[in-house]
Amino acid sequence: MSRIAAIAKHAFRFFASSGLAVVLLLLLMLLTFLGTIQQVDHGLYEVQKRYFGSIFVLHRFLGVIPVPLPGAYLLLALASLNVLCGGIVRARKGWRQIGVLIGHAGILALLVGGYLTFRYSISGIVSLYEGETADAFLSNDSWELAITGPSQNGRAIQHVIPADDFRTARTGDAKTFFSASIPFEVTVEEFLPNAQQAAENAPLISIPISKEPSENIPGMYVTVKDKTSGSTQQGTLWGMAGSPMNVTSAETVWRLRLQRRAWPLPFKIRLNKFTRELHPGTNIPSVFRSDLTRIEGTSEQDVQILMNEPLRYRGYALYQASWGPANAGPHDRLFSTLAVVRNPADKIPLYASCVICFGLFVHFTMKLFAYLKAQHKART
Amino acid sequence: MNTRFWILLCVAMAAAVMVTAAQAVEPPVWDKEVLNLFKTLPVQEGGRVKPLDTYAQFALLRLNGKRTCRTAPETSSSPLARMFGPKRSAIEWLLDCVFFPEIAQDYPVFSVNSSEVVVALGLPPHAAKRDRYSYRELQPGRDKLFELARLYLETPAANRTVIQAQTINLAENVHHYENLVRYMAFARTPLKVEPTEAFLSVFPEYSPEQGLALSAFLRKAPEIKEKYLALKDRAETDTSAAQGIEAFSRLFVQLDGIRDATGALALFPPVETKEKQWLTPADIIVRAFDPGTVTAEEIGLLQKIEVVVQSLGNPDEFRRHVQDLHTQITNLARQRGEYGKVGLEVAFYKGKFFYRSFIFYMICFVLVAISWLVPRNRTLAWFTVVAISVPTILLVTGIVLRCIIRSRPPATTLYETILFTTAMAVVVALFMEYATRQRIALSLGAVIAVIGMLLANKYEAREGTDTMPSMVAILDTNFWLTGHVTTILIGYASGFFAGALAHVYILCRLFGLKKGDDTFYTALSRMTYGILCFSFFFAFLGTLLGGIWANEAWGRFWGWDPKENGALLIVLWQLAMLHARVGGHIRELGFSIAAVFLASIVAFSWWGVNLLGVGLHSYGFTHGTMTSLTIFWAIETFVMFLGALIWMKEKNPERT
Repeated sequence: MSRIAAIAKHAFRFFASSGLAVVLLLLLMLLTFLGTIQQVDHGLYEVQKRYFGSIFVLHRFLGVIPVPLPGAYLLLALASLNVLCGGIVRARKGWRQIGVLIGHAGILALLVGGYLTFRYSISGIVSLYEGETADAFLSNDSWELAITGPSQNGRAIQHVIPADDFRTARTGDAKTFFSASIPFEVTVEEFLPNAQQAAENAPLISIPISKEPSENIPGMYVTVKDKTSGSTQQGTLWGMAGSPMNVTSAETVWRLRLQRRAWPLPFKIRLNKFTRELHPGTNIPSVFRSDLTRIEGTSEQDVQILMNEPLRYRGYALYQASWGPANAGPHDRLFSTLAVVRNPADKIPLYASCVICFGLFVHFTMKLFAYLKAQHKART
Repeated sequence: MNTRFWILLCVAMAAAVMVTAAQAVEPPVWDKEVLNLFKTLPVQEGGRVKPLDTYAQFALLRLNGKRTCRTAPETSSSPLARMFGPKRSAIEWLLDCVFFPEIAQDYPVFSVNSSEVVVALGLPPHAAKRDRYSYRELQPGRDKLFELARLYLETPAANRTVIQAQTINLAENVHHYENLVRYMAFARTPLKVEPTEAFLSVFPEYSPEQGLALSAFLRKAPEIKEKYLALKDRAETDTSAAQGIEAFSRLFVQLDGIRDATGALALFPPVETKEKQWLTPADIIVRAFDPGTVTAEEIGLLQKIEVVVQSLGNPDEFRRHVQDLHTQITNLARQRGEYGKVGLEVAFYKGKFFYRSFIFYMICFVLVAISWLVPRNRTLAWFTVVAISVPTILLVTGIVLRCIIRSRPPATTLYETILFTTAMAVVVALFMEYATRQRIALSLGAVIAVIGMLLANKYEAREGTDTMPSMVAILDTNFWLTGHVTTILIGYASGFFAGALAHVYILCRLFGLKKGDDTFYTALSRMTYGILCFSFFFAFLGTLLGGIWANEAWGRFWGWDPKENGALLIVLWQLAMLHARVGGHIRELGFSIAAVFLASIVAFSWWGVNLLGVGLHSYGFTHGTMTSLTIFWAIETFVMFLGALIWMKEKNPERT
């Protein structure tokens, strides 16, 4: 028991040490620097996944030599432990340290908020032309295979398979999916993360992955095998296909579609008007504004979304993100793209920042006055 | 004997200048009142209304690298004339360009950094590699210049050679210059129209000898359009109609040429106040054919320009017409609420706050150096403190005036960040000097101020564009700009200052200054620590505020964008320094070496990440910035190396 206690004591000392804090900070610096430089070649999205959302990362030094490094996820988890043990539990308690304690508590809250955001927030986009209404938003980067059955009592059953489950499907390493409520098996023969298709049912053409995740349109080859008859049907699914792949089984028609992952909104939004203004005589945008109606049942309310002025409602935040078409003429119909975020930890950074700044202000103000007093004493 | 020699030399130089000047065509002498009227004439450019004086200053700065120019023609080949010949202010140069293009084309205003650019055009280069050329000299190679520039533009900016970048820059400058000199051509040369029956039915008093003023033509442009359309209907059956159409087509080609030449300056405020975009003569020409889109008052302004140009030979008449034009335009601008800050902006640029503060800071630097030679002289020490306050007040006044003119917080562009950071660094230095009274902080304040103001002036000259641009929609929030940008810049400023103190520590230790005086080094290290804490507070606060802004604007507190990462690097390094110091992992010397590295990180965060070409703060790749940064990082690495040498020497004294 005393041995366990000794180990625990040593572990606590290790996690509470300033040496660990320094090492973690330096490693985080290195990772941040490498991740920043890597964005030039690989784009933000890819780097974010590899360096900042991972436990470990294999960095290729000079593009060739592999160097294993801890990812930001691991470093920040250890940093949280370090702040808790060293900055709060083990730290000296007293009026002189009150600022440091508050500051560390704030940093811990910020890190916890970051974890909650990373783990539980969802974000996507909704694009609307003037007059259109939406009650869901789409992912920028996540796709899914939607299998929709025949309507029963006016409602169709939809089965969804996230793309992450078949992303690794390759020739010779196919992924098969089945369900008791679906009369056939679906086998993803090959998944292409970014592809083009010249015409319906034409072969898919694999193209290089774009740095911008929303620009990647995946495609895949599938084989559908009827459970009863054993007959098979092959087909291609592409993210931008105009029509779904129809599968007939037991005289019922099922539709297979590769689509962006979608989340429902607890309310509807209708875009009444989108305004884009430029500073006179320039191409510098001065205003982007979406005039919307928020619809909930029978109640309607007009709302406005501008740059820096999002709409926050029922745990969702909608931001003015983009517009299009990019080559629109002065009288063309425009669409507005709104970013939609649901983040249960939305306000934590704000509150944590207030706590941190208060703590630092208290600590450094006390230090400054002590320093000025010492200087004055030394002169006199 | 010596005196006589110098007098003779001066006389000879003066004679040389006079002879050279006499060979050139005399530049016009502008009346002060006229100059003032033109200076305060409002013009819309880059999305905002500004004085014509501001427009002229940046137009000349872009070409010449300076806000003034010489008038000595290069054909004189006299370097003396170039150095001491008559000088033109920006507004005088602009007026020369638009009213006397034949004279202005001899002014050497095209700054060429490498004569290779000129040689590539098939033109004879000047003896000096870096020199200024006149338009007359460049004109024979103009077509080749544009051809090369078009070719080089196909190469991405980051991959262009320095010569290619300079060629593109020169082509753009020549293009801007040509737009200026052609601007008033319509007022000098009336329209020459074939007096066809259809034309004479609209202008019965037309005389081919006198021609027709553009404004007079535009007043009846809808009628001309009707006649033209009527002729077009008859053209298939009526040969005379076809001839009439041909005559009209030639007229339209003439108009097209004028339209092409008159798009440079949006001088005319629209009478319709809801319309945001001011009009150029080109706009009026296009609109005149569409009834209801241009008013008689707007065409009247165009006519006023014609009258001004035609009265050039009579100074009194000219002044009177310029006054009329000024009154009409400013009245319209006032009605639109767009003239309020024009006078203040003219006064701001006339005050030359930043240039003067740069000069004063240099004087202060010399004073500080002298004060170190007589360390016990308290009067000189106090005088130095007072002296450094003068340029600081000038600098802060200039920043405040810019805020008033723009109705914006102090740092919204890269240029303004240099000014603000410099001012903050000096303020921090003055406070530190007040606390310590050792003249170290004051001396460093003077050094940082000189470097900062030099950078600001160089940056402004290199960019050559208005430093008060319109803000993009995302930045159009004074609340977050004030909160985030100013705090993070205070963090930058004090981070640099901490780095500068660390330089003093390392260099003093290296050269054995104050050897054995541990209190000196301890005090220096404590100063560095104090400033670092101050810097950390503001850098952290600024970074957090940036995150909160991003959460408000885009829905995410942190996105690992390069600029965010740059700020994070500063904060992480400062935290590492503070924890390493608290844990006893580094002492005075280690802390100083780390503070020097901090300055390198601040430079990376401030300027380096902007060059990566990705993320939210990508301003494009520029060779000049990259070179300056590389030099800075090389110097900082060298200082850190020196610090490491001291550490090794102290660790192993027997080896040395």
